[in-house]
Amino acid sequence: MIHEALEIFVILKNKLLEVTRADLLKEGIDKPTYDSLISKGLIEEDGLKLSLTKKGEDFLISHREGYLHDRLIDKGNSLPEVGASEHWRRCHRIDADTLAEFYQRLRNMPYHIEDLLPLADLPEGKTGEIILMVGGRGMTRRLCEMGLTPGAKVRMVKKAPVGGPIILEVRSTEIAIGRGLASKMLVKPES
Amino acid sequence: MAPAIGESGPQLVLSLVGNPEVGKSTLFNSITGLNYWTGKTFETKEGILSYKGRRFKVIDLPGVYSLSSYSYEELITRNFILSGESDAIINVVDASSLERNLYLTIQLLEMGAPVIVALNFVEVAQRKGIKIDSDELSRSLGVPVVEINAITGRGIDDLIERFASSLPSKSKRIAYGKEVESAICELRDEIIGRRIALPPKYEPEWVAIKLLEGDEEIAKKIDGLPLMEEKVVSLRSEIERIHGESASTVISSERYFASNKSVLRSTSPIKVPVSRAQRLDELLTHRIFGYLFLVLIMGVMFTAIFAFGGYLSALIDGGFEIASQMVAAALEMIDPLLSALIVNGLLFGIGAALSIALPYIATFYMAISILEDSGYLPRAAYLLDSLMHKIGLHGKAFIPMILGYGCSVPACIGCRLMETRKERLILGSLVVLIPCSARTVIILGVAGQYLGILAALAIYALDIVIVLGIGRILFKSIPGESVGLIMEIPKLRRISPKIVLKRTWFNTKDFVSFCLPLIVVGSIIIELARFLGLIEGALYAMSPVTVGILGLPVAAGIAMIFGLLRKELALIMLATYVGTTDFSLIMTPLQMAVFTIVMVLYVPCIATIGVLMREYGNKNAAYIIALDLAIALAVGALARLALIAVGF
Repeated sequence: MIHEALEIFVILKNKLLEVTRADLLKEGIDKPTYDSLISKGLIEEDGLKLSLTKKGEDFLISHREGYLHDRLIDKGNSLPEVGASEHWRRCHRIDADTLAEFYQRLRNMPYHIEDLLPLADLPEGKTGEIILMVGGRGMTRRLCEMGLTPGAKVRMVKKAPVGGPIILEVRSTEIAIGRGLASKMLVKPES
Repeated sequence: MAPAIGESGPQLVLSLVGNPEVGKSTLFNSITGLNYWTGKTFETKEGILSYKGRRFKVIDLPGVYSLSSYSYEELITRNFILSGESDAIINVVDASSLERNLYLTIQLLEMGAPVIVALNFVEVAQRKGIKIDSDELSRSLGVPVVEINAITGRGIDDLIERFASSLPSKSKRIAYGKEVESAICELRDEIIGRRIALPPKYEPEWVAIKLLEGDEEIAKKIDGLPLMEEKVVSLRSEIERIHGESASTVISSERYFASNKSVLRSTSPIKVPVSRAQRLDELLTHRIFGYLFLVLIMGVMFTAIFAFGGYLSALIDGGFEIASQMVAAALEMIDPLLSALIVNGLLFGIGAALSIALPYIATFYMAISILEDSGYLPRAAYLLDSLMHKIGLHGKAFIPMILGYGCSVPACIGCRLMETRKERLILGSLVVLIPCSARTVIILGVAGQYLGILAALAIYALDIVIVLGIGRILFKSIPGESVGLIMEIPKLRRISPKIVLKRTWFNTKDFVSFCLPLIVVGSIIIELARFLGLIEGALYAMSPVTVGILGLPVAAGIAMIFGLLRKELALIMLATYVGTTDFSLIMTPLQMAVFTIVMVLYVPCIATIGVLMREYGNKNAAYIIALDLAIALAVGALARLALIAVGF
């Protein structure tokens, strides 16, 4: 899968800073997939070093935002015609600057997008790390102040029934958060 | 060096700063005794601490999680600290939630404030399995740390001795990560180098941090900002480029990182068994038992309030009746107008305020204080969040609503809990529609007595439907944003009867001092109107509505006029006016049902109107009252038609 290969590339790039063909093959990407990455102009070879092209970046972003939209944040609704970014700007009241920051984070995020869960879906008793938040500046600021900064470890203590709020433990304090807010935060569950 | 304090020196000012629910007010009450008053803003309290012949002015600032400028409370607290009026700042810290609490401490250090940390709830932390080395904490923060127990009073003398012997000196900031730190220094040098004029007492480094965070309040206060605009933007985007986050998020994270480092240095885990509190907590927030407990706790609370309150109220009312008769007999001979004004105006007003405040309000405050101190209220809010979302609010709105069943005045004040203006306005409009204890007297005294308890319960149910319906409509029609629920769930704590009683006393005193003048003046005005024969006129002026639309007897207007002062007395006034306490003689069952509904909804009492004006401004208060009146008339008229249609 092309997007899977791109995800692996970004994660490696974050870890190793410089990635070569051999590194990618070692990570289980087969030769035909690698060749199509090159032939489609998603990845450039510069000597041994590989880098993501503009096209590759766009491809990765559209995969990630599509996944986010379909599976996570707006679960169940198909991608609107205006595109995910415009949709988020309207529905989640996100201003252009915040949205740009969000996309930058999405681009650089060193995890498989498939490994992330909305916080609301983290099972009771499980812990996870906060990776991304989709929301306006006010909301982000408020959550940060309560200790829910990116990178913070959280533990799901309890979920109220029928879409009620959740109780989290973060920085050894318990806080309750509405299910709506908790669906807009993405965590990487700890195995 | 810290300055020495002379015996005869000027009065020193201490202020208490901390997160909500860390025992700040408990500490305040315990060091100032009963010697306190409300400060310049309604959110602060001021008091006097006398210690070894010296007097300190103590200021209790509103509880905040941060010192940004996002909420009114944060701004009040921040501006007060910046004003430099405070000679020492006591930062009350909840040891059981140290990392989150130190986030605020670290912001105080950023400001260079003269801080002493008062570490409260050390025992709670221990039960949670955390042992804190306060000397180590003091070293890592660079400020004195004193362990206290605000409830038992342990350590409070040490704390007082600490700042009484020498005032804390200016604190130093904890260094952040390399990139952030270099940006702060660069901007600080820019501020100093360009000789940018800062308001007095503002530290250049702190201003630099705030500018990087994008704090608009600070930006407004700095005239030379355009000179640095470019620098600020470039430093900010540099941070954002490196971290891939907004600069304000990065700085928040840095503070938490610093806080976490201090926590790691100063705490060690200890093994503890699963505590009883934890098991109880499990039950109280359980998806099924949680709701059963909620109903049970509320049931017990209201039964207790009305049983005990009713008993006390009758006792006090009886006393005032005898006193009035005696005063009336004495004054009658001098001047009938004076007698009427004093007896029916002044005495009636005081009697009204006391016989409702002491029994119902005090009992109610006590019950709420127990629920609050034990940490139950946030759990109830958690359970009811989904329901409140239906009307555009969130779980925290449940707290003012419950207060509303006791008295609308604290309920309106309680609306401050909500974060946005929209939420406060919706909630303020709703809590006054909830039958307070005085209106409960009407429901029970008319509908309950003559139509049966089922009718009374039906009126309660109707009221809840109306509140939810109006809430939904307001949510759709008032512009603005509502934030979801973000609320701390404190550990369950054992309550201290002493603290509960003290808190009840403070709140009741506040209530009486706010409401008493309003009720007394109102009573005197109505008595004057009655003496001048204006009441009859008012009744006839009201009759197109009372008789025409609602189909009530003309005399029902009496209850509505007096209901402005004190709802449960409306019935007594009505009885006096018609000369009988048997309402079945003057009203048909249909009229009683309509009368009760209208009395529950129509207009809040004068004390509530006063507090609405204070909390929301005159214009919004007028909207809320007009809304109530419209709802009362519409619902009353519709209920009448509906009841006639079903053959009542």
